[in-house]
Amino acid sequence: MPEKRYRPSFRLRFTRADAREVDEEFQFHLTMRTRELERLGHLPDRAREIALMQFGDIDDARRFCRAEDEERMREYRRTLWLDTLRQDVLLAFRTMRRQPAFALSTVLTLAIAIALATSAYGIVHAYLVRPLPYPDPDRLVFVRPAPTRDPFPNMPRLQDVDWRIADSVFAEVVAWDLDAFTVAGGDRTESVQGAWGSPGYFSALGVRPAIGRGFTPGEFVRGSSVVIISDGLWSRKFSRDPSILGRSIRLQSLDNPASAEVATVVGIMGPNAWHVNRFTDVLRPLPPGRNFPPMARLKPGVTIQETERRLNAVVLPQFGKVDPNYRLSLAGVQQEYTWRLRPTLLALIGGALFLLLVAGASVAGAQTARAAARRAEVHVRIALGASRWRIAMQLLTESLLIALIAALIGAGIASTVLGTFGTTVGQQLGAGIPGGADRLALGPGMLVLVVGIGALIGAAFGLLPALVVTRTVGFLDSLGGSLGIQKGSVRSVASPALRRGLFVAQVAFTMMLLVGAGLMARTILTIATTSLGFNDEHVVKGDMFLPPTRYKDQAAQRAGTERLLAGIAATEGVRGVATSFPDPLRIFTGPDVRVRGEGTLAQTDSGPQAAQYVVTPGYFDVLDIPLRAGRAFGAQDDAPATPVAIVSEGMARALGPGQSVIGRRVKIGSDSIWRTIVGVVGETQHPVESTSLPEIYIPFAQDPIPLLFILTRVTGDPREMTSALQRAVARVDDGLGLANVTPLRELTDRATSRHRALATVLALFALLALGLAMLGLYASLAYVVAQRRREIAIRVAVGASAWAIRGLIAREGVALVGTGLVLGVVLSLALTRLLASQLYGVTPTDPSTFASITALLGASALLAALAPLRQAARVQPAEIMRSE
Amino acid sequence: MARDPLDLLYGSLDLLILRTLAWEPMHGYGISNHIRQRTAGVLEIVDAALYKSLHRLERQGYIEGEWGVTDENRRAKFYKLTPAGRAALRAETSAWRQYVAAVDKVLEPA
Repeated sequence: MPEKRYRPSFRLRFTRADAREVDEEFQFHLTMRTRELERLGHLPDRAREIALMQFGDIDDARRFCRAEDEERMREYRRTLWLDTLRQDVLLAFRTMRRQPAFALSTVLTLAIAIALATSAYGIVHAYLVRPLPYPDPDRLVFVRPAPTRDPFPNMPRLQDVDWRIADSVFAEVVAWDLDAFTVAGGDRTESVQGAWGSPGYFSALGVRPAIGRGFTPGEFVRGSSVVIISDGLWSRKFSRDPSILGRSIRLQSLDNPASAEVATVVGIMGPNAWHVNRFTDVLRPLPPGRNFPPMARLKPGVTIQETERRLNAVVLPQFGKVDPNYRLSLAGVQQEYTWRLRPTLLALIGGALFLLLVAGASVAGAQTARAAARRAEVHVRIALGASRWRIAMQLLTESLLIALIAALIGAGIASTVLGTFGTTVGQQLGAGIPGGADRLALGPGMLVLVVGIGALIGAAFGLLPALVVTRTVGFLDSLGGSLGIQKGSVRSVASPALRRGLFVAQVAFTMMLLVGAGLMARTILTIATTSLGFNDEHVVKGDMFLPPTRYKDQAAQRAGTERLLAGIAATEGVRGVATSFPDPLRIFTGPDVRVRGEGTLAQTDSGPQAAQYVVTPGYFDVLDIPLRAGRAFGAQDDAPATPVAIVSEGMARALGPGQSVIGRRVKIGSDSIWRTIVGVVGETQHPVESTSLPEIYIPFAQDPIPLLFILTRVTGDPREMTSALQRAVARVDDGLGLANVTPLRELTDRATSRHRALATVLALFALLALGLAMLGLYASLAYVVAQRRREIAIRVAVGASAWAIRGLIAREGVALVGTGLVLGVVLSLALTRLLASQLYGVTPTDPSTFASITALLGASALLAALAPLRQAARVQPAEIMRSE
Repeated sequence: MARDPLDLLYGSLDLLILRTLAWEPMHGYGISNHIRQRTAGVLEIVDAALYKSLHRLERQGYIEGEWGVTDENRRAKFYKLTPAGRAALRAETSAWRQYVAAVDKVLEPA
């Protein structure tokens, strides 16, 4: 038997099955067998025949063997790939373990940036991207008058239109009517907000009680006596007693005094109920009638523009003679809900993205420098036969791994942050998360997206070092390394252009974040230091209305208000009390509150627009609004007396520039009566975003309103006065309730919370970016020093002073930082415009902000450069020479 | 082709190949000859089945094929046992022995 010695000549590292191999193997077998048979005496042809016969079904065997080979190769490639991946991952872990500080700082940098970006995106997503939690929300629109010019002489009253015609334009009309109710029960009567909703309100917005039932079609009639209450009211008034369902409660409507005063609770809303309109505690069925629909659903297949055209075509003729420019407009519900937040949200996501870029650039810069430092390792691996591709893949794996770990940590942090701060975010932004605070949480899809993006970032920033190393590593390069100070060797190291580019980008992005944060900080500072014109400390605001059933006419309202104020004034801890309408934080311009004067005072056409307030005499005292001229209101300014008014300094200037307005007469809006100006008071500021208007004040006694915003100046902590004030009100009339009792300071704070939140967040982003940029500069310069040690040593040896050496390194730093700063200023000038709507009291290109931020960055850079500079100056020539 | 060989029980060809390769690495022709000689022609195997078995065993990782040259300087694919193949041989051999013993017991004259 022809025994063969096993002598492998070469290993075939085949990764693809070669079909010819099976043929060759079979051919070998047949040849050997044929020769054996010939030796046994067969003729060659016969021998071949017998060999073939003995072999059996050769075609079948060939097919089978090839299939097996291919399958084996497939498995082999799979394991080879997995094996390589496993190797790369293991090596990456080993590298990370070798330099744990580097790995940790890289992972943390990216993780924090990813967490912040994810959180920011989560918020943006909840408001702007995710559809509102309504059925088919894209087809829901708000209906509103669109004044194209101000003012309109004959402002049509939308309530006077027969809105049944809207049914011909819209698929569904979503009408509600906001109202206020006093609700009896518990230990005291409470004033709450409420709404009457049309059938469409419940069906189109999917408003459904969590407990109990909704309204039946038969209940949307005049005089129906059913009510749905909020979870909050259920807790406050009825201690979450489930037996309240089906029971009757007493409640009184302000706007619809004829409605049933006793209503059966049929449903209770869930705790996270969210409405695109104002949150209400009481919901009642809106009877059909002449009600202006705030919202509607478009007819299928009809565009918003077409619907708008049709609506105006049927509605405007009903108004009679109006300004030809007057029309109604439609706006998407989500757009309408979020337009005010949009700039804040965009600034938020923009800031987060820039931080992510800074973090990414910082990580890539560090990786690039380190990759260059690892060239020795790479040389060895190339010498051992690793291909450049394999080494690039290895470096990429390392970056991907770091990015993936960072993304997972970041997603975890973001998920916790979003889950925890849903309510806070809603409060800070001044509009709840659509669908409820709990809807801010990240879904699994979002988490996958985050991790995916994290991986992408890793790939992007891993690609740079991978490219650097594979491109720069070469034989000559390694030779140059041992020649030391040869000119150009420093330059060839670590692809300085790339590293410098990354650093410059870092400085520029940091600059932008700092400028954004700086401008917001200035805004907050302006808000904080601009005097409101009134003193909001130690003042409590409470809302109340006088039910028309008991306070039927103005005389009753006047008398009732006087009794109430007297009752509150007599309470211990109260220093003064007044009521105003509206409260000082709000501006009612009304249809057209324009003030025209008599004689030489401003006339109709040019009359200044005003913010009108109806106040009781104590108002100026309670709010510490200074009297500049004339007198304040007094008891003498009652109904039968001469109608009087007080104007702010701004109004006085607008009415009669350079003249005294005391004793002059004005008419407000479409009033028919003339009012005599008796006093001038200081100007008050209204919260950011409202147009600032000069004020005109009218005595309450001459124009009583049943809705009272009661302002009380107290001696102690305003938060502790709630129940004392409510008891005082109940003593005067136990059918009245004081609602929304809140310290005024809290309300003024709330009005600016969005700006403060944005300023805080941007400041946080900017500080993180600044920290990263400083680290980046430190690392960059330290690296340069390390690379140029030999050169420095020689310079020192031939007599260069320490200062000359410092200058050498400093030049590098100054060039980098300077370029970054210039680029940052240019980019900032281009981008701060987007922040303009969020700014107050500062322009987007505020020179002093730009100057101080530049100085701050410069100073930080100097600080970061100190250690490397000292290192450079301490290089000892002898030491270097010895180590060579 | 003079043969009236026992049909090889399914799977026993694998066992024979593994046993043969436990001796030393061999190419398909060598294995075929080896089995024929060792069994003195009682077990004549169809070469097609032998190669199918070889490629299946290779895919399963019990043997490993490598191209080498024979003493006569011919290129041939040599197979050798892998550690997994050695383990399989041990397990299969003892299973085979048990099987044979069981069959013997049945066939013994009572």
